[in-house]
Amino acid sequence: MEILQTIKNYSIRQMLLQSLNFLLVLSTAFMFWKGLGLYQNTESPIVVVLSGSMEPAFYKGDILFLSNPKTPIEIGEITVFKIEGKEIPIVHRVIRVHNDESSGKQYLLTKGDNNEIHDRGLYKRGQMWIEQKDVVGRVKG
Amino acid sequence: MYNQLQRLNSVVTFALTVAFVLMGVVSFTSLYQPLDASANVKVKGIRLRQGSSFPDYYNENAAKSEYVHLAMDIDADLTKLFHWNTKQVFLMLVAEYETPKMATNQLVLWDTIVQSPEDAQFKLRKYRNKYHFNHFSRKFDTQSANLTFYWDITPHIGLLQRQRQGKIPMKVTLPPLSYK
Repeated sequence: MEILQTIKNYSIRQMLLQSLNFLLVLSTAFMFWKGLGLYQNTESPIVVVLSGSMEPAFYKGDILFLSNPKTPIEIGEITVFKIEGKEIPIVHRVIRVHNDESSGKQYLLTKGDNNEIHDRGLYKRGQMWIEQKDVVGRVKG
Repeated sequence: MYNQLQRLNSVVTFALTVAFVLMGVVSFTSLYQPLDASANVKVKGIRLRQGSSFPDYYNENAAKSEYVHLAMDIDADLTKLFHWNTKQVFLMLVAEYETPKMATNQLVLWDTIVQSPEDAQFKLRKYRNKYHFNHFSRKFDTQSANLTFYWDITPHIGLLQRQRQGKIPMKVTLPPLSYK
């Protein structure tokens, strides 16, 4: 209750200064996040693992650092991808790569290390492959 | 002069700093660990058939597609990849081939997770491919493929390290289609 009392004793100028300080802290954190995202070319440079499908490599709650270079995705890389129409990004390993030279497209198939079968059941209905545009980031560490 | 809360604060801050510095040192030094491992595969049997011997879920063309069935001898020793920052090693046997339309095709045929150096030696005999070996379209547009081992070291903390087997990959010639 002491704190409330001190806040009441502040003048308007002090109040404004305090809130400005607080906003500065928030915006610094936000700028850091966005700046890192811009540098790594991904919308979320740091993700937290949500499911156990990549155990024992990653457990729930592990923190991953992503980047998203333009270079082709290689086999065995762990990618974070989003399926159209689904909100939650998935962290899984690439187990098949087909590079189409004429269109420059990459057809990828993923699988969670801890899952029995590949991810076609998680994709959209009838979707056989994911492409580079679905990939949000590639796990670096 | 100092109350208990301030003392606690400084202890916690110091502990956190030490922990982060230690994490940095561990992740940095593990990048310079010598990595050398051996892995070899011998193909004992190969057949190209229409339709797979085990179900290919979500593939509507499965019955009409060509599948390669392999029997392989796999010898691997990954013991030396384990150092203080190795959480697991992910070993993959990858088939790679080119077709006129597709510049690179890479398929994992078999993989395994190794979590301790005690389990890091393999001697598998006449082992079948774990995943399907079929082309993007129904038919293979190529005559031969290479088998290569890749491994991926997942650290407790720090960067993932990917490596491929340095030796010359094994060439596999696809046989003509055989029927059951």
